[in-house]
Amino acid sequence: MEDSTIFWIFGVFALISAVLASFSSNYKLAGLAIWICSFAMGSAYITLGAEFLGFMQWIVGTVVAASFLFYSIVFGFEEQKLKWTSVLAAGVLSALMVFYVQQGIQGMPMVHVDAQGSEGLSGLGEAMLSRHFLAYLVSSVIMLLAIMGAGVTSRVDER
Amino acid sequence: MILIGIALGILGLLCLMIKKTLLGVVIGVQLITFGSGAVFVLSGVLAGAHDDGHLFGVFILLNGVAQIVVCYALATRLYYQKKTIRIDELRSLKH
Repeated sequence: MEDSTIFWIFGVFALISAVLASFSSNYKLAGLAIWICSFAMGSAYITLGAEFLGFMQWIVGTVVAASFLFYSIVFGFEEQKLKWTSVLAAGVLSALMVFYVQQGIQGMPMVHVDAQGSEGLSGLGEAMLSRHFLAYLVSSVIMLLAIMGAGVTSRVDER
Repeated sequence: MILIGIALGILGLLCLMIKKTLLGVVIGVQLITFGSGAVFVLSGVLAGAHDDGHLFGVFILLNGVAQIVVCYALATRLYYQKKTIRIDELRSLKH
């Protein structure tokens, strides 16, 4: 079986679970769907030769799904009925976006996927610390600020 | 192939528009993160710049985690104040 076929199988799995996560009003089901979507995307990355990113996707998806379930239990399963007007408006907006995105990607080259083109983990590390060092620094600062901001935001007021 | 990433991102936007709670926002942000990461990785593979696409996929994934941390913190704060996590109640973080 070709790599592209396996990618499409995992891609369809990811899409189905994403639809389930988006429209389900059950948080437990949504958390499970997020985990399946993340697992499918990680597997798709591995078929594309991005093993490091695929494993990271699996780990992050598992942590996100576990924390999502934890917080949904802590806050209680507060559900709401979907309004059909919201779904209709969102559907119209999505159709417009799909149309414009399709117009935008028509000129892109669609060549055969070569999963063996990556230089591996050493190539990733070299690229991170040379060509994309600024992006690495900015990403680090964003994560540090997010941790500090989360701590400040969720603190309990003594007054 | 790249359409799968775009579809994931659009589903995430749909989720952000439909859901009314902060946990729904977490789902939407995650889907947008997955979709945008997939678009970068596939663009890198299709254009022959594998490592660059993979690297930006890693950055996007980690920044998605940072967004989720902030979302959980806001949800904790809101639940402490109002005993609910509905976004409609999020007017002020002070008492």
